Amino acid sequence: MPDRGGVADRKSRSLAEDEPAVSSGVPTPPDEIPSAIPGPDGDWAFLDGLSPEEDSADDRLSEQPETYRFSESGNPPGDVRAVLDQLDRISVDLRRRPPSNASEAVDETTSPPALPDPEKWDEGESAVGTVSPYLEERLVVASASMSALGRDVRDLGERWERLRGTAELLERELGNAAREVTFLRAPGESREMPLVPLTSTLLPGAAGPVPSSRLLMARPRTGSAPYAGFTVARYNTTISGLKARRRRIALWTVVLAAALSAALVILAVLAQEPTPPVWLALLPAVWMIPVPFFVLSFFSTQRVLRRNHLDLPGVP
Amino acid sequence: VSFPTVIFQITAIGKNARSLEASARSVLYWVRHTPKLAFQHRVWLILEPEGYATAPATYEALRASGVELWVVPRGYDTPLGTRGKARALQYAVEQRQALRLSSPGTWVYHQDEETCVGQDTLLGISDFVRAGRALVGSGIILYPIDWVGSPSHVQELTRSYDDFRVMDSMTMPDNPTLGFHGSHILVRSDVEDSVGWDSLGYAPAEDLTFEIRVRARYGSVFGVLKGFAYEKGAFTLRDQLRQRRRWVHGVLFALVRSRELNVRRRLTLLYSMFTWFSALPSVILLVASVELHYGPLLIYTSLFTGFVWVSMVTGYLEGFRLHSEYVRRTISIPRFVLHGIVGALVDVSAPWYALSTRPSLGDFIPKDRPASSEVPTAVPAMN
Repeated sequence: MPDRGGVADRKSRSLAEDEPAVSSGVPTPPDEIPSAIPGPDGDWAFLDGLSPEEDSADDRLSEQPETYRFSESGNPPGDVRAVLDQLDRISVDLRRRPPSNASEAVDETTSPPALPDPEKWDEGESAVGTVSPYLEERLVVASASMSALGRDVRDLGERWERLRGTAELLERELGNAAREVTFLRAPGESREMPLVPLTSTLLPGAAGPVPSSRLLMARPRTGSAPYAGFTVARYNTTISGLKARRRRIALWTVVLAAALSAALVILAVLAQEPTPPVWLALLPAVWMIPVPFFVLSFFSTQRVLRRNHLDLPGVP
Repeated sequence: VSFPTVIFQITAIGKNARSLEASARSVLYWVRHTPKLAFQHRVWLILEPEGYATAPATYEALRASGVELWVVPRGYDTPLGTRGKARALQYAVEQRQALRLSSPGTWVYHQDEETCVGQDTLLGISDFVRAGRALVGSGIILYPIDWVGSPSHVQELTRSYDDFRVMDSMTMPDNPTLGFHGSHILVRSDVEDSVGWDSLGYAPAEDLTFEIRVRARYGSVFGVLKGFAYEKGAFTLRDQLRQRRRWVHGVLFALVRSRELNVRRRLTLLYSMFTWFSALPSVILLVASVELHYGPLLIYTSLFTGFVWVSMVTGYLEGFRLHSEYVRRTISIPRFVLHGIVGALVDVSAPWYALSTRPSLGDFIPKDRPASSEVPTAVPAMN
């Protein structure tokens, strides 16, 4: 899906853009609290455990602003202590709040997180800089929906094409039907089909005569066009005549063949002519070659006329 | 309701523009004069550039009437490099594949440049595609257009009656008496496009090659197509001879080149060729017997000689009866007999003529009668 990456990109971009605003207005993420806030009893003893080897930590502390520098005895100065007390109170206060909105995220550190409803998830307020546990799932659902949507659109397109073809057919046949009625109602000589361009009001965007030449009625040639006489009535007359003659044709073929053969035999006997032996060997072979073909043709013709009702339904 | 689509495909060089125009317009005319057709139609005209150049105005007018015009590019080559009509047919196959028209819902009705359809043709096609029992259909072709009773025209009458034999043979396994057409055939497009028309070099009878391939791949999937197609015969004996020469070379090409041909069918083709080749010696020997006095031979052969002769005469007679509803012009019986004999002599000479000469891509059989010699041969509409 081409849009899939795009959506993901847009999503991540959106989160990234939201991040500064969220972090400026919302408390620090809970996993950072223990390092910045003393324990609930206000004991600062953990600071006393700093060994001389941990000078580097001191160095880091020395980089802190002046206000937060510890005294040489290891106790924080008074103003710092006030700030820390304030933070302590805030921390306690936060823990007392009902688990909703931002405080929910804080409670995640101490209690199992209550899974939010994905349908109600508001990433703009609740993500708080973290990756939604449902983001991946949402992307999968979104991409699946997009695939389904794509399929539906394609299907719709195909259906539309078929519908358009059917509409064209319907329109053409309606036009033809009207012309057939006109043709049948017209008396004898005046049965000339009019040349009328069909309009395609059923087609989208078509406001007048369709420019497509396929929808134009072809002007029939005059009655003298050879093909104008090739009607189904003539065909049926011809075929039924031949089928009616089938037995007669077979009978007369056999009778005439027998008569002709008999006449030839009689002539040959009466002639009493000497025949060279070479001809006796050659001629019958040459003359008999086509006989199987003609016999097969005879039976084939009879068979196809007998088996197939070749007539077609008449046209009113 | 989804109707199948039938593509009426006219594949030709395009030099017989007026015949071609009549063919295309016969489709356009009858689809609008025939109710209850259970298909949608498209008309495709596949032309060579040199053919299009002979009458661009005519072809553009056809395009404006709804015909879809395809001019085969000069530089187009098929994978196997076939030439002639097979090349254009293969081009159409590729266009259908590109347009996703190679499907069971699309059929292709093949027409030559002079193949006009009638109301019966369309109803026959509709019946065939609706039944869906066969994948390929072929029917009877009449030759009433511009019929003047010349020897070549009289000879064509026998072909129509012979089409009953063709239809029966075609629908039987292995096509025992070799029957198929290049026009007035209806093929389901996915079948045609899967088989294709491509072959090595020039296939003089591409329809025979196609039939062999379809049968080898799909088996006996041929059915009878109701309704006639309406064509015109060659105008001159020379054209008739050249047309038959092409058929002979087509059979020889299939015998030599078609790998799909099994032994049985190969023997059938060989026998058909042999039969055709034996016709001229038979006639020569018959005439010579008068002088050489070997009449007693008839004692041995007469039993079947009578049958062969009667069958041939029946072909002319019934062929004429098939055309009688469509042909206004009549000729006297003696002239009819004389023209029949002349036409038959050309036919029996054709295979031997084919042995001495070769068809070429430049072979062009004129089908456009000069405007000054138009003849009213078709009977006006009965309605």
